[in-house]
Amino acid sequence: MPKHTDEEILSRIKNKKTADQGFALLMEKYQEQTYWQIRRILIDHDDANDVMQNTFIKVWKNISKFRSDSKLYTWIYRIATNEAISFIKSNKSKYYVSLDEMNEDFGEQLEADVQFKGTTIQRKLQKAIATLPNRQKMVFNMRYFDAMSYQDIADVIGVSIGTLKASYHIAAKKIEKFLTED
Amino acid sequence: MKLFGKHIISPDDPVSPLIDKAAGENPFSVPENYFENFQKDIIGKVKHIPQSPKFNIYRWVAFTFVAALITFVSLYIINEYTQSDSENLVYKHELVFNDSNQEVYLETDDVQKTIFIHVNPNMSKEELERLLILFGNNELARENAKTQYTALNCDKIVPDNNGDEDIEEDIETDNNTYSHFRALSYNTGTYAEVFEMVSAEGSLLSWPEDICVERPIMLNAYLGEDFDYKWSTGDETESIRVKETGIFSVTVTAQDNPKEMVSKSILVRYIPVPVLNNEYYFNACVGETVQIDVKQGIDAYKYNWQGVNSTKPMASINQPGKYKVEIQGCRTYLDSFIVIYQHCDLSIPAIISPNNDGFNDAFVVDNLVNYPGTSIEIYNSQKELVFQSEDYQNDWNADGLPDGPYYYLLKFADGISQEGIVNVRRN
Repeated sequence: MPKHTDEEILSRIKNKKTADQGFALLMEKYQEQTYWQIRRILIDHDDANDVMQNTFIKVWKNISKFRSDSKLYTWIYRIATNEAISFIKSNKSKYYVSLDEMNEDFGEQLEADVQFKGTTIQRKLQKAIATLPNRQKMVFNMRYFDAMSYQDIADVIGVSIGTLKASYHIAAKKIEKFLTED
Repeated sequence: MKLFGKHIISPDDPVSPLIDKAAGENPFSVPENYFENFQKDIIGKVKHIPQSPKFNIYRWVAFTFVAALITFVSLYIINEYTQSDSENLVYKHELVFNDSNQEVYLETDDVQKTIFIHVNPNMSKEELERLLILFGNNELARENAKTQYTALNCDKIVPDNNGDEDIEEDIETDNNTYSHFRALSYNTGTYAEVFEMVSAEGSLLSWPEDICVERPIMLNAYLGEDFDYKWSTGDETESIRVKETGIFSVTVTAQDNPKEMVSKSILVRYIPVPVLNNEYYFNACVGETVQIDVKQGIDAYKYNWQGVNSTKPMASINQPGKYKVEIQGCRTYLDSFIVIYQHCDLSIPAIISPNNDGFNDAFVVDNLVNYPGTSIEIYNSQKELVFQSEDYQNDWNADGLPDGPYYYLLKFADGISQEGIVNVRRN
């Protein structure tokens, strides 16, 4: 089934009769990528699920305020990213004690996580990403895993592309260093 | 793997090639049917959650007007009952003549409660007379305005005693339906100005003269229900959406009195956020010039390269280094690049086989003879230095070292350096 365009989805949501259906289409189209965006930040599935709930309820409440000047998915990403950050800030996160600070037993925790099926190298990469400061982490995730353009990342995070490029460059460098260290 | 401080990454590669691709696969999993169930769950929940109402500028402006009206009426009543006639004026006003060809405008000073009416001294008597503001229905206010005006001793105009009547005929004073007073010029209909006692931000009354926007903007001329709107674009709605540079003007006419009209124009400069160059690294051969182009789709931007003396969108670069360019639209944005130079006439082997068969027995860099004084450092995979020379003579053959990958770093006398991996395989 071909995916619906954003315009179709939005116009259905605008109409009260088809709003539920339109929102279901929106979720179908964007929930998975949004989930992975959040999951990569929070690592833990239950945490990601909490943030997903908040994110999509916010999307529903505020969809009428969405300005079609930006892309729908960068708008959803922005909400998701902000929700994930507030989640970490509220100290509810399983893996992060506070923002930019990783639990020391991150590796063991990851090992015990039933929803983590990664190999050693993947675990190492996740650990490396976890050591990055928050903004670098997000830029790296979006660029590396989602292959998003700098412009789209800038829309989500709200910083200039020059800063983003530098952030990505520094993040990639740190991760290389982390991965090559024994 | 990276041994040296320098990184050479193909500009086409969006991710670092130095990070193991296998690590980039998704290591996480989700419970069975998670997305299906999640969607059902959320759809079930949102059915009971109302959506926030859309921000409605009309409703908001209407609300402001009602609030303003209430404020005004209250003020009016308070004034009527608590103050003497001479104190009835909320604002006093002064007529000021400009030197320039500037059109009429009003300026208020909320602290001193003064209204300055700036007019063009080249205006004809008639124009000025018609412009002479009569504030509200208050005789004293009108008189006050005249006094100020005479005091300025403008020899062009001698207001006559009958001026009041003349003006009254022409000027439709506000009947308190709206909370603002109007100064209207009926002469051309173009340079009338509106003064409002209570701010109605967002409406025509608070338009600035020009504005720079990065997103489309809504120009809202809403004054009330009983007005006709005529835009320079031909639209006849209360507001228009603008997404291009230009001067936009609107004339608002009262439906029950075509003489009561006001015009306003605004210069909108529409300069979107610049699209920055997606590339960061530029690799080039020594002697070549690298062109970095940050040109935008429209001409409204200013460019300022740092370290390159250029204000053009494209810079020609012939030195390695980090380059920055400021792109100025409504705001200033910064884009940055790294330019790396290499000696492209060199041919550096990726593999050598030092088994004395006469082929590839040593790490021979073709054309190295053109670069005397080139130093070399070679490291094994444990990052240990295994060979070093200040003036490399193409003679390293991994003597006494096992097969495997080695890292080399060549430093040329001109400051350029090149690095890479060479595999030693004897069989």
